[in-house]
Amino acid sequence: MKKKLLPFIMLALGFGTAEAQSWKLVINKTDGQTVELATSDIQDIQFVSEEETPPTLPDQNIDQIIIKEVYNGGCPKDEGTGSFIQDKCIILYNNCPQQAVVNNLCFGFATPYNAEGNNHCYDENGQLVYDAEGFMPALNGIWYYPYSLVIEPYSQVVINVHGAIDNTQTYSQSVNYANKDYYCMYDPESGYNNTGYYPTPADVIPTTHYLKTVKYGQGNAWALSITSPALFIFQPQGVTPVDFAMNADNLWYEPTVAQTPVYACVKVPNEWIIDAVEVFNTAKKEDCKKRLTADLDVGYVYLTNKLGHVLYRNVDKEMTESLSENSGKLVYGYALGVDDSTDPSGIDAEASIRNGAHIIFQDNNNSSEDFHERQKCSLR
Amino acid sequence: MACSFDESMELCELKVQLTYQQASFGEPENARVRVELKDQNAQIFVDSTDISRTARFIVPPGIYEASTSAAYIDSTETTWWRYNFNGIRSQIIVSPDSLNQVEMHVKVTRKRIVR
Repeated sequence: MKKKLLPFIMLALGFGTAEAQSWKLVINKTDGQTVELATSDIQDIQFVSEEETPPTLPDQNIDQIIIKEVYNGGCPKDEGTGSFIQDKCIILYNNCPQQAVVNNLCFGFATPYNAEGNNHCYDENGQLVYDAEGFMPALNGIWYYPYSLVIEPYSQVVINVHGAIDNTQTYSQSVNYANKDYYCMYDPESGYNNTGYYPTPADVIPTTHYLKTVKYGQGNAWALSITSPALFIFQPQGVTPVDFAMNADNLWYEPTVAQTPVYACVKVPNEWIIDAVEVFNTAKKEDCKKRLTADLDVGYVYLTNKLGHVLYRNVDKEMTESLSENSGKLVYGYALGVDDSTDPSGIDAEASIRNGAHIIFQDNNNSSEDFHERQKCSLR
Repeated sequence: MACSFDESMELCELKVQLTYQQASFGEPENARVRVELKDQNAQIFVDSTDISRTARFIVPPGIYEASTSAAYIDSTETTWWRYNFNGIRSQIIVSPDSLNQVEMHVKVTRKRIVR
């Protein structure tokens, strides 16, 4: 539950009328202190009930959390004039029959932004220069949950990356994120405040579902690639996400590039990384280069962007069929792949889930085997 | 001589030898491990390792990327584990005047299977 008060206060005070007068908000606290803010510095005022703040819980089954879907490529506009790309999301999944709990879960992507971009990270032996040091360079900024994230057994959580609204009102092939159970990356005070990418989230999304960020790079929106990101989730060990990402000792730059915010990365130790996926651009196959190291992920999944396609995790057929509770609930004949890219299990995961089945997804640290390109995001 | 200089069909033999550094996790049970070789046009060549852990490819000169990925489940203990054996070696230059023999380090990771 959240209540926005500022518009009413400003209306009552006649703010914005012809009379030139400046106002400030004065808060008299019970401890005797006073806080003053100029109304021009305030976007809105919200009262959030304390019971909505999730409790802190101990970590549990973190290693069972996987990236189930990445929708980053955008979709066609209805009028057929270009594409809409401000509607990205990531879907995580608990791949086990027990509850998963993770504190300080973070999201990052590797440099360079696009797989087909200039990659200065390879040495003369064809090795990524950070491979031997055991870290991944997270470019631009990281997002994090400021509390415990709980994922129920064989269940998913939706994290909107850009445009946490009902985008289908404008573009019918986009995604409706107006859902109370969804989370969103929304932290305009960080500097990620481009309203094209970060409209005020749908009212039904609780403010407690807003993720926080540490921005150390350039730009006013987290620059998750629309063609080919190398995305990973991680949990800092022994340090908060803020302290980790704000520590100048953790900054890193690709060899030969200017050491400016444009190229700023933080070094995420590989042992912190829970899951990762590497996406290549179908339109520029010959230019794509791996960014994830082999211990994290050895493959890649192709994406043709701007068509509403999504990268979707393949079903572990043997493990899923071995679950006795799935008897008679699995739906076969999956047909939502793109060209040669499909789920080789033949199991329609979404239809099976709707049928009450428990899906175990494949997790071989190999995006080539673990993912396929799907015609549309499962939220559509 | 590793390469032919026949202009109509100039091919070279590339040897990719797998090395395992994390001996504590062992090696894949199957000695013949699949190795993929990708050229700059994303065309894939496939071979399996021999007893010397080497895969051999007969390919035109060019720049290639080799990779391997194998997995198995250890269900002998109370806790089941999935072992992944992944390796990748990029920017392999194959040419008639090169040795055309590279090592590819295979990284071994494991993950719990919660049942």
